[in-house]
Amino acid sequence: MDHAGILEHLDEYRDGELPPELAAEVARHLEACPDCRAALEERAALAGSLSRLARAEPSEAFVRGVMERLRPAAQPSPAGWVMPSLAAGFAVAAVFVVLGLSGTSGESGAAVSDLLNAGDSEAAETFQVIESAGVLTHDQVLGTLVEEES
Amino acid sequence: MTSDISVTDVKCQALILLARAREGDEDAFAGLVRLHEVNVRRLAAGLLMDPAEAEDAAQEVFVRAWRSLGRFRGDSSFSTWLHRIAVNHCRDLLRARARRRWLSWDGLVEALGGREPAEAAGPADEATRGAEARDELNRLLGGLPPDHRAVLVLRELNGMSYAEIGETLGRSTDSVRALLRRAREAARHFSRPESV
Repeated sequence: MDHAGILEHLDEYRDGELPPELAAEVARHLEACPDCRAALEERAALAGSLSRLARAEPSEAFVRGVMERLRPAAQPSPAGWVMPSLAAGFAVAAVFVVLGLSGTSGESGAAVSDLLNAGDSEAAETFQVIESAGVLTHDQVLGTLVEEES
Repeated sequence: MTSDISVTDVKCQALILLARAREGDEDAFAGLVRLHEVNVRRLAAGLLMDPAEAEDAAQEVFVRAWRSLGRFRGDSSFSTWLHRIAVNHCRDLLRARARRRWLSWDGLVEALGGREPAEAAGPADEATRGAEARDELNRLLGGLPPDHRAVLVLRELNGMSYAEIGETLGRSTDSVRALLRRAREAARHFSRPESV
C-alpha cells in the first residue's frame, strides 16, 4: 500500500476496525514513516480534545431526577386531565354526605332543590353541570354517596 | 485476567438489573441508569450542544426506556437500544428547534445569510457562552451537521464499534465508516486555528 493509502486508513487503524493483515501493514509503515506518525498523532489529538471537552462525571442528582420522573405523581396520567369534573362530582357527593341528603330524592331536580334550600347554590350549580355534561349521572353520585355512607 | 473477570461481573450485574427492571423493579432500573447515564448525557450534549436541554433530554431518554422496557427484545444490546432512543429523541428536538428558528427572526436573518437550518442547530446559545470548554467544543462540533456530531460522539467518546454505531443510527457498517471519515475531516478542519 502506498503512502496515500496508509493515510486513508489511519482512522480505522486507530479504531481497531481494520482486518488484521491490513492493520499489520499500516503498523509496519508507521514504524518507518514520520509523516504518517504525525498524522496519526493529529487524529489522536482530536479525539483527546473531544474527550476532555465533553467530559461528563457520574451524577447521582441525574439518577434521582430520572427516578422522580418515573413516578406517577410527576407524570399526570390522562385520567388526571380528563377527570377534573369527576373530582368535582365527588366533591358534590361529599356535600350530599355533609348535608345528609341521601335518599331524600331520586331525581336530580329534587337534589338541586335540596342543595339550594340548604343555601349551597354553588354545589347545586356544579351538580347540574356534571349531569348535563354526562360525566356523572345523578345515580352515580348517589351510588358514590351510598358507598361513602356504608 | 483480573480485568476480564471484572468486565464479566459488570455484564452479569447489568443483565440481572435489566431482568429485574423489566419486572418493574425501580431500584434495578436506577442501577441501569447509573451504568449508562454518562454515555447518554454525553451523546445528548454532543447532539444538542445545549447543556440544559441535553440534561433534560437525557433524563427523558431513560423515562422512555423505562416505559418501553417491555418491548426490548434483546436483538441488540441494552446499551445500543438506549443509544438509539437517545439519538431519535435528540433528532426530534433538533427538528423542533430548527422549525422554531426557521419561524423566528434569527432564523430569517440566518437564512438570508445563506446558512442552512441544520447549521443553525449547532452554535452555542447565550447560556453557554461563558464556559471556555463549551466554546471550544462548539468550535469543534458546532458547525457540523447532527449526524456527524452523533457519529463522532458515539465513536470517540462512547467507544462504540462501527457495527454498534450502525445499529444505533440505522446504517450499514460501510455507511458508518464513510460518515465517520467525513465527520472527522470536518472536525479537523474546525480544530485548526486558521478556521476560527
